[in-house]
Amino acid sequence: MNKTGFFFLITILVTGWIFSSVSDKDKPKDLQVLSFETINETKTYMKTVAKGLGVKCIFCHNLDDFSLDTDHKKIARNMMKMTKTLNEDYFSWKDARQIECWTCHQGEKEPPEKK
Amino acid sequence: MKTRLFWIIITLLVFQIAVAVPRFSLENGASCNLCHVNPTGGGMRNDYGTTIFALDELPRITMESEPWDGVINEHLKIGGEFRIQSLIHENAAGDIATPIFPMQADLTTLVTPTDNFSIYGNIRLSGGILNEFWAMVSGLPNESWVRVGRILPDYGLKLDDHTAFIRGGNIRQTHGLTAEGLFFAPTLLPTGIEAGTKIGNGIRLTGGISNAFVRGVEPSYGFSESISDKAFSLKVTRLKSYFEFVHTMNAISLIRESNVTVAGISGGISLNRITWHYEFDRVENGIQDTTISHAMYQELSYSPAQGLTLIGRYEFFDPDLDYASEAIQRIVAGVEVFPRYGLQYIFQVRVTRTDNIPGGQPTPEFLCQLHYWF
Repeated sequence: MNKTGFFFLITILVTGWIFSSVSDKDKPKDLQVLSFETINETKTYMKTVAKGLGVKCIFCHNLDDFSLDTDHKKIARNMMKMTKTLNEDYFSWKDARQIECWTCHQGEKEPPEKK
Repeated sequence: MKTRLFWIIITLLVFQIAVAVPRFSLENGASCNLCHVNPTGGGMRNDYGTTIFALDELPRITMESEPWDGVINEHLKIGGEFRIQSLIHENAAGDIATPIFPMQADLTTLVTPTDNFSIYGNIRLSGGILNEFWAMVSGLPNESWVRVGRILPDYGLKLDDHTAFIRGGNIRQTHGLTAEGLFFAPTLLPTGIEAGTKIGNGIRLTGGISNAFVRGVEPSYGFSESISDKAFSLKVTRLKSYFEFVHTMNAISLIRESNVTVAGISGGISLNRITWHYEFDRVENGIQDTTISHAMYQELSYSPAQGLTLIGRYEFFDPDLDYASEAIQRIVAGVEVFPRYGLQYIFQVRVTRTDNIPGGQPTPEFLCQLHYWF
């Protein structure tokens, strides 16, 4: 193989490697409670959380770096653990409706109190 | 004495204001690249800008399902920006003119062969001009990036209204001044290289070198320019948030091109539903040698509900402080409505006042704009 062919082959191999690399851009960072594999899955879930509390992303997240912890984010993690536990331990019968943020919060930052 | 006083005021302002852009960035306490592919803002929106901000947080009526966001595949995305505008005003003959014209019709393409390498191109459909294109390497340490191509240098507030005096000013509907705005017109952008990085807490730095553009867009692609003729730009921006609902942004911008110096401060503060942003600029030799120009922009906005914003604006421009008198002011009152995803209506009343220009004061103008994007 001459030099031209060699460099051409290297170019093809490198290009193929670049395009076939698993993209870290698609993976969410620092998920401690959620088990999503992609940012899209995380985003879809986050939208239900935002609607459940009637808030925007900025309520919990540092918009310059979504993976950074904030006070609300830490609270949200506990809430997610609680929701997961309740669904697994108490709403586990067949076709049981799963609870989510909206169930208690009803679109408010704090669950409305009713007497 | 006046020059010294001006720089003293700028220095005091810089060190008193807690340590970027149009309203959305300020309201969210985040830089432009939260929503835009372009790291200095404007143009094509990224995934967050399209599927979260424009879909859920901006419009009056939100949609349950996500519309097509222009993504062809993981390496190719297209976008578009269209504006139709009517400017009802009194023309030189004293008649009421109601021109309706396509103010913008752009198609944008983003190619990302790899995560950290992207190629961006914007075509103006009227004329088929590729007015903005660049190749960018991003994902470098400290969120740094470098790009080359036809780029609008990062300076001041990148408003979407090119008629603002701090942008291109009055291009067609002029009032007799030697110039009625700065030189950031939406025409062919100069060719150059630009880089940006994040330093410290909430501080971003951008800088670039391009062919000369202040006194005329890139004559002959800069073939006859020496390095000293090029335009050097620098901008330092600090974003700072307090509590959960107070966001501030302050920036210093500089451009040096041959003997032309452009310096400005910009920024603002957002408190819940109320946002104020500003820009002050001083230009030496921008129009011709020995001229000193000043431009100012102040905007106060209030959003009583999602998708609805009331805006009050004051602008000032004096092309040459050394002339006996020649200045222009504009007061704008308007409403912006985002009824649904990808749609914006703008209604404005614009009152212009000129300083000692023959022919009397201009009559108010009424602007209506329909803006659609994807």
